[in-house]
Amino acid sequence: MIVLGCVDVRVDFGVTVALDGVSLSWEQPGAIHAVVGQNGAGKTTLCRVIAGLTRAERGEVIVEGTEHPATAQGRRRKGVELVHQTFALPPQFTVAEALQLFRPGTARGGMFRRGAMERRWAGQLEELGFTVSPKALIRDLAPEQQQAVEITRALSSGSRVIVLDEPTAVLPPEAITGLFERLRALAAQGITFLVVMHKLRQVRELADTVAVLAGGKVVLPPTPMQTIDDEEIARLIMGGATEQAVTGASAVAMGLADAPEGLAGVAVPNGRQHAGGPASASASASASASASASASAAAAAAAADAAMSPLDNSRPAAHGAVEARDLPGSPRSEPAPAVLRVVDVSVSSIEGRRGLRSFSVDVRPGEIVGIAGVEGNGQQALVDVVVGLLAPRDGRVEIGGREASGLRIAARRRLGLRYIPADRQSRAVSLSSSLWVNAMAAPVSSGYGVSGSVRRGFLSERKLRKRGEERLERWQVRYAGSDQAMRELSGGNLQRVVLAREVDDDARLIVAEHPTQGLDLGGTGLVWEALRRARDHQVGVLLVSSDLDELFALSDRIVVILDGERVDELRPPYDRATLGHAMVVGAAS
Amino acid sequence: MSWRNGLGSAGRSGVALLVGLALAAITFQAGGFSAGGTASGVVTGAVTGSGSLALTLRYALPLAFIAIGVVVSFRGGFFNAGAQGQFYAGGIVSLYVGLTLPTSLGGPIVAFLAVLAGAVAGMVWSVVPGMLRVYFNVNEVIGTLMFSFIAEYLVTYIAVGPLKSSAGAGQVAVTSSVPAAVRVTPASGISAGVVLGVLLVGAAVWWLLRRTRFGFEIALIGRNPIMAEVQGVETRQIGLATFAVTGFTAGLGGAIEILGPLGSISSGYDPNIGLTAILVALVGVLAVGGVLVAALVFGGLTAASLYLPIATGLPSTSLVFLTGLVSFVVTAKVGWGRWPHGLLRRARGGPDRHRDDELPVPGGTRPAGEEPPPPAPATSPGPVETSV
Repeated sequence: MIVLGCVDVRVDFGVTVALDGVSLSWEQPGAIHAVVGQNGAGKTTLCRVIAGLTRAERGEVIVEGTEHPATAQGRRRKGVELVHQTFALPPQFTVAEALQLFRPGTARGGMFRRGAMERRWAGQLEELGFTVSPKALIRDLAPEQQQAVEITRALSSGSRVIVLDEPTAVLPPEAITGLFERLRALAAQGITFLVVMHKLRQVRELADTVAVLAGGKVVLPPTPMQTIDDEEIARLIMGGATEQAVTGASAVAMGLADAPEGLAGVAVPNGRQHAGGPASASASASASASASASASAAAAAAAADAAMSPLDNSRPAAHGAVEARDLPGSPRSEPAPAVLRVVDVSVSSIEGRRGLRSFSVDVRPGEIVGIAGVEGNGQQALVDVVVGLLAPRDGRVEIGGREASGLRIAARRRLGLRYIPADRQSRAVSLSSSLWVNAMAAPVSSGYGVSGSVRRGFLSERKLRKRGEERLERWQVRYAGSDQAMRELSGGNLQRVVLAREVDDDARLIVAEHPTQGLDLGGTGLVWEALRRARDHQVGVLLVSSDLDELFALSDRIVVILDGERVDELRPPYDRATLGHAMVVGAAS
Repeated sequence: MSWRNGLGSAGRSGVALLVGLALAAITFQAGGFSAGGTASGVVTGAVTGSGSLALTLRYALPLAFIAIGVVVSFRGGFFNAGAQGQFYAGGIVSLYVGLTLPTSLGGPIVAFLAVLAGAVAGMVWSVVPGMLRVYFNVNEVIGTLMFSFIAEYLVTYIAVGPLKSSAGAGQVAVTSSVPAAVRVTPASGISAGVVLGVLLVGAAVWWLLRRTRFGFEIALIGRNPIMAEVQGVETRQIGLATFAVTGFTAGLGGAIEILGPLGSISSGYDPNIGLTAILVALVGVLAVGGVLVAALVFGGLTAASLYLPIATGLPSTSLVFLTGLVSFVVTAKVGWGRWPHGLLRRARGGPDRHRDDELPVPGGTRPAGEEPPPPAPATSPGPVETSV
């Protein structure tokens, strides 16, 4: 009998296909089955389809031998329960109330007796070996206790199949062992678990079988753990790009090879000439007039040149080394003093954000250092510590050779720190403010690059606006008027405004956090070129990304972060398998 | 702000005001009072009656002082709801200084010092809850309102205590009166100096908002505090400064009221001016010019409320009802752009809605967070369309 499975399930979200003809079956009851894969591989969608929370375009779901159409309008499927990644318990409820919610029993005619309810659930919790008081409020519980309540709730429905979506993501390490023991005990009683996990080490420790999803497809059907090794799983997770080593140079070529069609979409003819908006701009002749179907890598470079040319002109003699500097990927003669030094920084973990453990990384001028890791392994804390949004518990941060631990964000920015945040709408831009305000926000607030337009706190709106427009035009932002609200811009155009503010002449260190997330190929190409150009002008770049192609294409070296620790450092030529292994298991050697 | 946007918001504000008045008229009619009579009563009481315009201006002046400062806080997204208390603090301290300093220093000098002291007192009364807000994250509405209650009891204390005079009658105690030489206006409540003062404060705040880094940063915080911080804005200091400005002008309002038409404070003094000033700021679309106009409108309504009982038999408290309705409509206006949208989204988001964080959704896989709504309770300074 198939205890759990699905047949030819397809799920589309708009134009993206989340699951593409996925067929999987697990036959062994009372076992723990793992599903692994990269972000976006479709794991969570699979869980939701199985639990009946997401409607599939086509396909069937099998639970304990019974077939159900997966296309039914979202309704919880009987016999299988999903424990969410982020818990869905009402925080102001007591444990007993949360468990009782939507469950039959105790309540008679809409009335219930608190005492009876609490006794009922106290018994259940105890039976499962959870030490949680039914009287406690959900919001006062530790993550592992909330998870215990969720699991109790799932089991109390009489379901024999439980789906856990990344159950370890929110747990501290010590709680993970406890969870694993409990799951194994329950499995021994005949409960079947389907578990989505990121870390291979944990899969190895917990699961009986493993299946791999990549790009919405099954690349490994459920396979007993004994018959497959970590290397093989990591290789499959990373998209099977296998042994073929990706060198820095060929990755660059790869990035540029992608660029043409994208650039055709974004490369606007020279923005400096336009006044009335895109219509008049398109009339002007410029390098990107050729950005038609035949646009090439040369066009990409030309567009980027146009974008960064002011940098070329204005870079003072002190940076004369620019020309002499070697191309990325080639050996460097002597290491310049670091523009960023993160030394033994520790940050406590809080709910929803992994901390850092004695983490160190240096970024030298003219160098892009990639930070690779599975999401949620401390990247956020690292960025926040460098930018100045978070004070480390221990360790120190130096920017441009100056101790920066005690410096506020404005002071760090004056030292040349720039920040391209991942969360654009909340951190990077103010959607209701105008374009020029967005472009000038950091210069005005932190006090740099505004000479002539701000004097002793008094500003000339006219001059400031003009400076803002200069920045916007340098980056070929398409706009009708610079007092347009930011929210009117598209994603790629919006990121150009961010680049216009953050990649400027005074930049010394750029922290780029998932800078191309959600951008199309053209936007991605522009961001890549911007970061490469910045590097060529002796700016140091700290690049946090979960896009391995991006890391390979840009990074001079890649530091791997796992669970808040620096576990490895890789140099070109890069190799997906090695990096994948380091990201999920730790150091290769 | 582009002037077109400004006109748009002002237009909507005007419409809201008219709708509020119309609703009030309907209610009055239903209650057995003539709506037409009420309308003409309002016009007579506020504009055309003899001495009406002077009365309108007399009530508009303190409202304008307070509301101009409230604009600063609201633009920064801080819902400083304690203007009433800051007004009291300004009144009490200016009275104390006005009574204590010897008039031999020269009336105008004493008056100036007293007004200044009042303004500083209002500032202190605002900055303390401001500090609770920025350093301890105490909700500023609670903090500033609590301080208003304290100030209210201080009014009674000062009237029955240290400055008590023999003038009180029955249950009402009254302080000594400020000598005429120290007054900033005659009993009419209007003087060139005070009118000039409002215009100066208005100009100063306009300039502050439009021509200084401080104003630029206030707008950034008000629109997206997280983004502002990332840009290097010292959000705490700036936030605290907005509290200071609001308190300062509210204190000024209290000082000119007490050193002007009133001359003394009686126990139980409660002009209910703080909340009206917040309304003035909102109806005035958080712009200095708009606030000056709105202050005249609400000053007129106050003046009319004195006349209405005579003309139509409406109780004077009907004005409270009227302003209540207007505030209701003005804040509902804020909702036009927001509510239906939010409701629609919620209605669509059935169980099939993906909470999926690993979908390659175009436009970014992170939650497309709207900018955080301004921290406002019932009446929100919300998306009034202003810009630097």
